[in-house]
Amino acid sequence: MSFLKKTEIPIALYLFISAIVLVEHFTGIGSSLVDSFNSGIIIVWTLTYLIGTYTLTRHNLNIIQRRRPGWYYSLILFGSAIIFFVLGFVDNSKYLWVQTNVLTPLEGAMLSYVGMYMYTCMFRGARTRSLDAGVLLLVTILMLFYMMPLGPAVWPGFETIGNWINSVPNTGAQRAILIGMGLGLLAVMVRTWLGLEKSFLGRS
Amino acid sequence: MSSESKDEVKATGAFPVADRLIFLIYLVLITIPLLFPLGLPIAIAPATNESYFAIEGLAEGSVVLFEQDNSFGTWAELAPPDIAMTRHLFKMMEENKIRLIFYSGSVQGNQLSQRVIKDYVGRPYPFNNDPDYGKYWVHLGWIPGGEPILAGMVSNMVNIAPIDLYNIPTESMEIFQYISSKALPNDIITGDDINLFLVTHCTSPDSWARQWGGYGDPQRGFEHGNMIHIFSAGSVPYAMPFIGKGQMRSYLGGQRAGAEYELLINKPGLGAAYMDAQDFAHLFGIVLIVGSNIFYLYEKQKVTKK
Repeated sequence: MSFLKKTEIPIALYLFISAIVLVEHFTGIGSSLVDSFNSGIIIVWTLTYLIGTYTLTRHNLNIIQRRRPGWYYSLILFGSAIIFFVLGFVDNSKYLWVQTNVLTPLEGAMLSYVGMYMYTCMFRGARTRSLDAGVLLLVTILMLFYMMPLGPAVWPGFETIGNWINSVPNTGAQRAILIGMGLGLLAVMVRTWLGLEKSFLGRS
Repeated sequence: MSSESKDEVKATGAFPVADRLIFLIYLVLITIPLLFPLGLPIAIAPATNESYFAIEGLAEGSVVLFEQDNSFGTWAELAPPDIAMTRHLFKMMEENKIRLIFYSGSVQGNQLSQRVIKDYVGRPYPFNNDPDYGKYWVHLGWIPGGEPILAGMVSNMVNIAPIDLYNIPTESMEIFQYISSKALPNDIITGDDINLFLVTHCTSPDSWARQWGGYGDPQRGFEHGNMIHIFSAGSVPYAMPFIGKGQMRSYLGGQRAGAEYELLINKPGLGAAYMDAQDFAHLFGIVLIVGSNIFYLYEKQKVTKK
């Protein structure tokens, strides 16, 4: 096997860097080294964009060349990306026009699409089949009144109730989730140090 | 999709009739108030008030770090509070000579941050044509790297941002020289030199709470967590633990908070324009829930009687 493909190298690299960052966090020793790592991350992160661009290009060109099903969508995607990329260098005002009047409304529409399904869910799925479901629906209605601008303006009690729901039961549940996430992250870190976690190397 | 399932979709339609009716009613309900505004009242939430007074109370020469990570998809929801707060900051810059440092951790955020400052606040563009640029405010551009960059910004800001948006070395800029002259114990700019942290984002606030939540503003009695987030209304529950423990001071949650903030700074804009539509949309949701339950209970009673 090629030396660079050995599993031990990235694990050792991860162990070395994470140990230094942890020691610096708790003791302050090695802060200049950690600053260098932070600067290096900017370069690595930017390189991932290059890798992503290359992968996207190769994948879409492959589909177009072989006329796979939906190849015209790949042509539109790839063509739009090229045009937008070139516009950024050639004519900044047209680039900004496309960004403001085409890209922003399209992306906004894609995100808002999900909201439409929420309304069908409210119609079909929000049924009081049990006591728990009834409590959930009551809280949903109260929160809808709390979130709308008119609700607290009509009756300030909606603000009080909404704030209580956010601050007490919700905060307790969110804290439990955050603690669980933190413990999970610690476990993943220890597993990665021990070489048991190899998903980041592209292996199961 | 197989040809068989294509025929099935053709025969039945993509959505049942009831769903299509719901979509149509929803579209009509949000379009009418956008075309014919009703001017329904808007109550100011305590969190919006807290955010407003956090900026209004900034002392002369305070330093504000603003990470703007909006995205094109969430522009409609986050632009109103982002624009309103940025306008307020520039007004404070002109009145109280506060220093503003803008940057973004995402490509889209960088573009939208510049759009806000150029098109909505009205600063000269390119920004280095602005006489106040470099002296009272600076834009550091896109700084990728995620959470390590957040850590780096509060441990050694110039190391993370050696140049600005226009490749000008930050160490040579008057604003950075001003901040580092106040920085103790040495000239390194850290989180202790920032009086207020602001973030616009469309994710969970925990990264910023971890890295910036320990920095406060002792000048004004805040021991930690002098940080205000602008995010979507759906992210408010995720922020509550950090608000409860003081790692975050306040937040602006979505369009409604943006509308409230516009009223506070007396510059109604996008946010205020959307509020009537939002009222109608929420009311429609409530009607759907209540109506479907009344119908369900009636049907259940009929079946029980039979």
